[in-house]
Amino acid sequence: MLQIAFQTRILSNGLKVIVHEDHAVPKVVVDILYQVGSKDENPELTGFAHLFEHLMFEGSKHIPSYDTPLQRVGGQNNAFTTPDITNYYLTVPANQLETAFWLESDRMLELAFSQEKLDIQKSVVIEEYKQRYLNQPYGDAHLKLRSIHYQKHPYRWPTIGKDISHIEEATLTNVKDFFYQFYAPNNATLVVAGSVNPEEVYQLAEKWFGGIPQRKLGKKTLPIEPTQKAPRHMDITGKVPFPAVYKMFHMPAQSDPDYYVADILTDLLSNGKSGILYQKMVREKQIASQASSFTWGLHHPGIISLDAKIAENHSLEEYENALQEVIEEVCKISEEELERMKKKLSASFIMQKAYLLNKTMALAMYDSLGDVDLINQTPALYESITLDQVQAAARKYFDKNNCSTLYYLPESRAN
Amino acid sequence: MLNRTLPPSSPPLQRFSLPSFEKYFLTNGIPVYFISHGDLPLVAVKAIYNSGSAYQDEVGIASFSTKMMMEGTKAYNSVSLAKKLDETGAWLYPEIDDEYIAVNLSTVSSHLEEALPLMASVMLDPTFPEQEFEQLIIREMARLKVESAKTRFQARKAFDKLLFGAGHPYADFLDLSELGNISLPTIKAFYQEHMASGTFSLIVVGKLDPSRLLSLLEDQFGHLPPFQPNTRFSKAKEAVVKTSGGRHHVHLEGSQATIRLGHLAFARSHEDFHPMQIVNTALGGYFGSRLMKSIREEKGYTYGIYSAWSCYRYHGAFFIQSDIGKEYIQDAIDCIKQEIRKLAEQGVSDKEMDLIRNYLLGTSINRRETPFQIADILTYSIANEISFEEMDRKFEVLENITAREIGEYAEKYFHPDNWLEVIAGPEF
Repeated sequence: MLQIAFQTRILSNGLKVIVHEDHAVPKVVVDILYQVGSKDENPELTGFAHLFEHLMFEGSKHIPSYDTPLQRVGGQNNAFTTPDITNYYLTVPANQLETAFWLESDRMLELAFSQEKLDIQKSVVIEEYKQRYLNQPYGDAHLKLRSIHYQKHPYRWPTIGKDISHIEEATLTNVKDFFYQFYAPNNATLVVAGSVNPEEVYQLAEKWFGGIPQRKLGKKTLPIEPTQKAPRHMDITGKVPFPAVYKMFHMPAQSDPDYYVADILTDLLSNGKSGILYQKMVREKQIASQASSFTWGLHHPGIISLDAKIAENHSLEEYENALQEVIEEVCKISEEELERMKKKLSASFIMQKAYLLNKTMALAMYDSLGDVDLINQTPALYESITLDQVQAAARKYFDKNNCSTLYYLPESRAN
Repeated sequence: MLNRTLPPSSPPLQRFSLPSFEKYFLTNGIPVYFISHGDLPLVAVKAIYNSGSAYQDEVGIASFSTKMMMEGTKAYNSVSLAKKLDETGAWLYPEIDDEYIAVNLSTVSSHLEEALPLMASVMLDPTFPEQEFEQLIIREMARLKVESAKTRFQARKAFDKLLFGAGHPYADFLDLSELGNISLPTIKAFYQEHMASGTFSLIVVGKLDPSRLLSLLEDQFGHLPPFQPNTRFSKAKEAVVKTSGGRHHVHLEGSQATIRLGHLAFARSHEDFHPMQIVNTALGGYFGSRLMKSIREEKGYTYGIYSAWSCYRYHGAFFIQSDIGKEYIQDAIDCIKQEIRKLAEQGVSDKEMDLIRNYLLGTSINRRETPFQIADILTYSIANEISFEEMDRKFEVLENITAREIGEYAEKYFHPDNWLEVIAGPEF
């Protein structure tokens, strides 16, 4: 009953088409995932995959505006870029499905490139950069820390770009090169989910996408991040009210079975009020006013991040000492605590299925990892995690030599 | 050969109306509104009280009362409650609005039996421990300090205070200096008066059998004293609005400012509510709006801009908000005013009218999809006494409104010449 049924076919040009039927509401989600993200960028031209995502909405070869015709049939859309992939998704009433195929296939075929559109979107992205990262207290902490946490791998720069100057310097030639290297049917997955007839979907896919030629992809072999051997540290100062501490630990890639163990470990630390990190730092010792942790699951080895804001009259040293205690506690967590977290996760897997958009994006994301059926296997993978695995993972990943730390200090204290 | 220049044929769009609900009563008269919904074994339960932030005597009291309900009950302390919820696979959280307070439970239907007693414990037996309260205040102080460094927070706070007048229930921002004045006895008294008396209604949306549901609810809440109909009203009903216009600058360093521009609007019960939602959509209510096209897509001054014709139970606010690069602020404000004047003078074309009509028709499905969304809509309906029929009247208005009327409504209700302009950010 809670299994998500889907079928897959691959067109002759290499486009993979996945269909999931769900007739609960008369709507359809169409998701196209391109296997290109910021890790595929030139180190001298970072932020490009994301800038390009903006240009995908600026009109294609035969259709001057992407948004208007979609809105005209009652549709809505958006997109996001990660270090690994770029994902475009839209929702339409079920009887308007063909318009989605018309729009998405034309922008996969060819974009309407223009200098003027590029200049405007560069400006929009620069404002986005400021809004998200520069004009917020602590807004740039994660992107700064990533630059020392990774030394060789392209995850060292953020998706928005290493620096505003990289966005400013992008040229129309760069844009065209990028498109033909990565935007191709043989580098994409199309997921159609909702109130649909699968046969009709495959006919539409053949009709609109079948004629798009395969392209030679510009994929490069990416450098492997060398194992970290010693702790890394950086301090930054800014207009912030309290010192804050950010820590990143290397963790396995999403395709590694140990990824799920590291993920549940993070949940044990700070999933809600019962998390060990939150309990110890915020409630018990009151060293931090806020403490959280999360995993950045990525195609290549990713990040466990622990963040905290130091409470008034407490110090970074106190936090560091208490963190050692937290880690020791996690290294010997009980069966009971693990079971509790598994129960919560198993309910949250069902909750997430309430939204058609979530299910559709999950199908696309799991496909990008190499196996769509992971969507159905994941709950059992979490269920099978043993106490030994969690304790071993805690010892392995929360090692000080596997950690990079950033202290964010208020300007007045630093001076 | 495939003709890619022409869109495929598009059949007419259908309305997606709200579902009907059943109304039951527990033996003591507590009303239970139930909607059977969806194929997934999920359920949303909400207990809603005739209270809210507009009912309090001092700023912050209502919100701290609801937060403290989660910080310890007769059966559980703060931590053991959190652990018990994890174990049950349930999410329990209080919610506060101007016109209602809700305790929300989301869970898998088969866990309802274990989860409801936790909800009841929070609603009926909170203990308000002193130590948890002190810690909550300290955490809140830290949170407020971080918020205060954000241009968005400062813009919204200054705007609401100037729009409704300081002290008005719709401008209830807590200042750092006021946090220390909040006392535990006041909070307990608020709970006693507004929530302990048992005047709440229950809303349940999800996949479950109504007779099983009613027996579970009866077990938890049926023993309470007889349900008393509401006699309280929010202070917003009588409060005097003292609105200001003109430009106000809140100084913060940075490369962008948050601008918030606008003036008073009308209450939710006004007959032009639905038409003004459509007019606002044209101006700044969706990605293809006039403001997004002009300020983002033509000028590149911002990552995003939106407008809202926001109607509360007793008054309303019209505002436009955006984070703008400091070098573009003045030009952006001029352009915004120009777009409003253009909309009022020229209205929209028939083509744009069709587009907005279809966009609103088609996307209404997205907000009515899950049991959680439906439960929220039903809560709004009960707390504000706005029926589902009135909410769905939007479809009728949408199908009949003309392009010319859009301009007439814009002319009648938008007044950008002497409105309020709040800019939170650097000098420009």
